[in-house]
Amino acid sequence: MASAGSGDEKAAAAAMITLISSDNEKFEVTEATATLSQTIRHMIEDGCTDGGVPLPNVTSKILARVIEYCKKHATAAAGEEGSSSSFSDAAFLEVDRAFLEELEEFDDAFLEVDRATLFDLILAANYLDIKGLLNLTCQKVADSVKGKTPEQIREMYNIVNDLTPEEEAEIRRETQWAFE
Amino acid sequence: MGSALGRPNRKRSNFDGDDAPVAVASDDVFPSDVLREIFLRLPAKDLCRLRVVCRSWRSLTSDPTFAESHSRRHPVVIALHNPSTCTSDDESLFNYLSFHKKVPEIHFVDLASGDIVRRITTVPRRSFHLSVQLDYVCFSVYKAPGVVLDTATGEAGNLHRRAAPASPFILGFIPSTGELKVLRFRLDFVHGGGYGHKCYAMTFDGDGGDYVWRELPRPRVSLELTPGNTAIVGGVAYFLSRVSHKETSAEPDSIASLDLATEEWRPSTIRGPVSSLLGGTDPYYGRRKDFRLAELNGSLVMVHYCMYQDCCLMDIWFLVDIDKGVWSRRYSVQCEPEWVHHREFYPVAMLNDGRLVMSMLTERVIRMYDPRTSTWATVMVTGGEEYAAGSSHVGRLLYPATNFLAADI
Repeated sequence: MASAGSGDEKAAAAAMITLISSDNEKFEVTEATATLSQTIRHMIEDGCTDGGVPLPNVTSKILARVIEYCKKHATAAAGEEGSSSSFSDAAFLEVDRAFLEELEEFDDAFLEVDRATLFDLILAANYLDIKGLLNLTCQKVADSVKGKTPEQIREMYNIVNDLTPEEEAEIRRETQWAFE
Repeated sequence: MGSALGRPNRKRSNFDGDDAPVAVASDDVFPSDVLREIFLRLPAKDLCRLRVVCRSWRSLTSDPTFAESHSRRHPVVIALHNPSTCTSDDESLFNYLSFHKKVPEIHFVDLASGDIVRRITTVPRRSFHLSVQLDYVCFSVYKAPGVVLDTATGEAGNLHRRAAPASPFILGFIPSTGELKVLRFRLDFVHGGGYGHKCYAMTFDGDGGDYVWRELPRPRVSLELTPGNTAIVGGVAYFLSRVSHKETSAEPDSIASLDLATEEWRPSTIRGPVSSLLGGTDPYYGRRKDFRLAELNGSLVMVHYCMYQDCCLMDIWFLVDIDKGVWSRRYSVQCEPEWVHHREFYPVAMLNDGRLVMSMLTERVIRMYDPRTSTWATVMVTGGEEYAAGSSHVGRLLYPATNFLAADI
């Protein structure tokens, strides 16, 4: 990508990939969008994307959201590449900053989903190996656990405590500072 | 992260045997690698609390490979927390210390959260001069043998049979041989007047066996041995040379070095960045106390404080070519006005993104400098007491899992 001339870049942008969700819905995306997924990038490199990429682990509802994320962030990645050559230009930096802020707002809005969707997004991001999306969604779950007591966490996630009271006391004693 | 392609078709159906569901959430199942991703993003304190949620969460968070990934993501500084300030040669302060019944602790401070993620509470009273290499820490103990402590197992052993004179022990790892050596110094009088250091070395095998101290040749110059004046880089111990009042001609930033593998002093001292650039022609370019030595990300680093009236500039020079003595200034940091009058702060770590972690002894804080924004932030305030021997190091945080208990040594 980086070494490609402007003509090749256009050709790359024009190359479309078809993604097929578990419920057989087809999504046409640009290669730049699709290759945010390492899994798909490898498939493209191996030349096995003709006739579409079946994604049997991802429903159309989730895939649509994942593509929405990838589209936004693919533009961001392209913007970064473009501005790196003139990074000393203050105007460019200002534009970058505005764009980064916009991206952050997009991410925040993107995470406004119910828990089931969030979990599905995590599983899809993991399966498709999309680093940014996995980071974003895992951080959201991690934040939800932060500062909570074990009892609150069990209640939040319907987890049955299978430790004996002795074991629990032992763990608490080991790292008492964490419970103070 | 492994490829997820081999996974069965529907996500809510069963998972592979080796990728069994670990947590059962309200209506969903996470494979262990996803749960790991989530847990990696939590500070150590929350992780320790997660251990009592259920058995599978405990085993995941106690797994050594998980602990290692987590500590790479959450760098930690090791510090010796003393209930009072003390120096090696001030007995009255030790008396003051024993008056206080508090016991020193070794703290592992998570730089992301500022939390003390682990405490080792079996540190003898009157400990000082922390030296850290790999998972080992050692420190001197006033009127008692020095102590070496394996932070992985929590086991502590004496470095010496008898009480050692109040001089620091310095731990040095030798990458080429994998050996860990301990250095010890003793101040004595030399022929022809004045005093110098006798130097001893011992190979530390971690077994706490019969320690044999070898006497090394005397260093050619007098050494500064206090924290902030020594550094271990690539199997070589570096020391700022001590400039006596008589030696007006000596360069205040010259460095003596000892090859830990051969146990030989290098024949000549290394010229510091300031005198090699200015050639000592400027009488104001620096006094001895304006310099500090440190190790940052495998490089020898010299810190130079430039004081101008009510302004303090801190330059950090990296030794890029030891043979040619080439230094490169990577940071030139404007310090906050209140730091001007004490130089009791020095870098202890450099993060991957270039942020610099500074230990501030007298300010009782660990601070972080971000070169991208030229701003300072407080990582932690040490609870109104002092990190008296705040020689610190980014180390591996080993979680006190069930197989070892730091507090139970």
